[in-house]
Amino acid sequence: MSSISSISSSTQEFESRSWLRQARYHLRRNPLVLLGIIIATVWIVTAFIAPSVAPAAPLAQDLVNRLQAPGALFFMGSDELGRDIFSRVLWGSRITIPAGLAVIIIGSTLGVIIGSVAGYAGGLTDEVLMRLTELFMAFPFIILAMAVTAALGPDIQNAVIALSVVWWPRYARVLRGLVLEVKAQEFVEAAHSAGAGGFYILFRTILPNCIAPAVILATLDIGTAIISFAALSFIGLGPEPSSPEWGRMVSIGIDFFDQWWMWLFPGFAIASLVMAFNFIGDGLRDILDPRLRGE
Amino acid sequence: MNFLQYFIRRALLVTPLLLGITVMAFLIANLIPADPTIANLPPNALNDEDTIAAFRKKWGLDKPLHEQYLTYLGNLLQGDLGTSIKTRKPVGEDISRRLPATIELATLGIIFGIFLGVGLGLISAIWKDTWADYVARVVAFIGISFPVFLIALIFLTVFYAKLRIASGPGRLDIIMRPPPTVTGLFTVDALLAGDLKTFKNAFDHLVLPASTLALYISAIISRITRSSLLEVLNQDYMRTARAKGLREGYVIGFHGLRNSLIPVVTVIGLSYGNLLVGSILIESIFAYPGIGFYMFRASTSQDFPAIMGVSLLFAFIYVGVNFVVDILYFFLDPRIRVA
Repeated sequence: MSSISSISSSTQEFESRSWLRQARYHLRRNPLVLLGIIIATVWIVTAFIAPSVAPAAPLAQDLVNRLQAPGALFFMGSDELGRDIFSRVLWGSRITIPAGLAVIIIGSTLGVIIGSVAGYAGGLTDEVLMRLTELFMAFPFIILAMAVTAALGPDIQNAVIALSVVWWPRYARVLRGLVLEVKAQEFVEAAHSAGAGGFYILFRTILPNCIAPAVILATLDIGTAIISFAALSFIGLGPEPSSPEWGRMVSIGIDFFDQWWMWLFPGFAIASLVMAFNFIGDGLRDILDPRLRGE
Repeated sequence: MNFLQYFIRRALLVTPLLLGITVMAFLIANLIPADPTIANLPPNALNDEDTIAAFRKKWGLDKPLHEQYLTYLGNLLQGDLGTSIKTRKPVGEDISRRLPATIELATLGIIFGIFLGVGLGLISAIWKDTWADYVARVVAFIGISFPVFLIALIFLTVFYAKLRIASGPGRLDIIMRPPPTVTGLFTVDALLAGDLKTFKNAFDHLVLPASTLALYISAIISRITRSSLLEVLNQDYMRTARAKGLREGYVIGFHGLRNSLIPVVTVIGLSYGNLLVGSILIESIFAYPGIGFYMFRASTSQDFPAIMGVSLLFAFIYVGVNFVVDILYFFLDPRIRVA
């Protein structure tokens, strides 16, 4: 008995070590993934520590020193009310990162549930859910999100809700296909004949075998979610105007075109974060999709 | 299958989709807001009982939901999208006045974008893993990762404000007079009037926003072109074409590009959605008086009827473009004709 457990523990150790080695191998071949991980980590840490490291409060005004260019007084300049752009950019990460992640988590969960129910139930349920999916996909998704946010009333929470509502169709499609594939396998039939209920079979037997692709899709999507949230808030369908949200800051910066620091720094903040997640997503796809790896 | 059969079959698939879109737009407009009357009327009109009663009667708000929808659809078929809170004019009228400007910008944008995207994808695939490939991929990556409004602001600063080699905001210089309206497209109308000076001015004003739009949509196009062409380049018939002594340019241009075009055309259709969203973000920065700018103004001032009108229009355009793409397959992919 003890020998068996020692064997299994050493296999485990071996597996985890080889996993590490694999990760190291892939990171060396995809240096951009490493860069993406570093940038994303810096932003996530910033989101946690912004209140203690930002030199000023995001809404603190200094009307004497308004529209100052970047310099000794303000590292990234100040805006039309003398607020410190650098502090606002740091604080902004506390809005954008959770918003982007929330959209992905809610949207993909919805998609996974709808798609897998459609695939498993089949028949009329499948037909209705898939027609609904197609209908959602017929709208350019940001436009649909704009309409929904406008109807709900613009604020951060509603922008996240609206984006999640338009986010699920792609996941539903992918999951439905996977569930159909897994449903036909013997172990599902075995679960059936063992007397398991439909709910148990779908969520405990089938879904665990389909979840990996959804996770990859979600990782690839984070950048898009962040940039879409920024776009919504850029056109005024997000947080209120004084908020240190990056898209909103850029949009207010348009009126101060010559004070380039007002729009450039928040804009770069969005770009760097999106780029980081895109590096990670692309790398992940290269690593996990053997067809592309061969090239 | 002949063309007519194919066309009818596709058209039958699109019709329920268009109806479905109207149902969705109706539900968003009538179910989500706590009170559609408050959402759709200007604040000062809410004190006026008559205005409210007239509004409720026109949209059938006192009737059950399915009858409300039929009223909505009836109004829609007459081109009635409600009245803008901000401009106080019918949304349909507002939109049709601004549509030509956006069509002009979007057309030039998609032409630039296809050339840039397919060009970069070609370079990337033919010279795979060389510096040219890396440069092309970095350009595509910037197009995907940088918010399009940031690119627009950078372009405007660099090429207009600093280098002074491009024209700035608007459709024409302030001192210029618009050409006599025929199509509403300033470049076309100027040419029809034989006015080359106005044509050049209008075109100059289009170059910068259209290039921004092009960079934005070319990112996806170039990625698909690259991967699709790479797949095709390894096919047996490519080797055959080379083996029978055809010139390399002909092999890639005729055998390669044509066969890799099907996914590219699909993605061009799909990126039309990006084009429409891009037009909102770009027009707002270039103060370009089209639908996008109208949508931007509407959303910043919570002009609900205008937002719903533009959303509906964009969804219809999107479905229409993808219908055209479906029809194009017939000519691009001979397998459809055989099937």
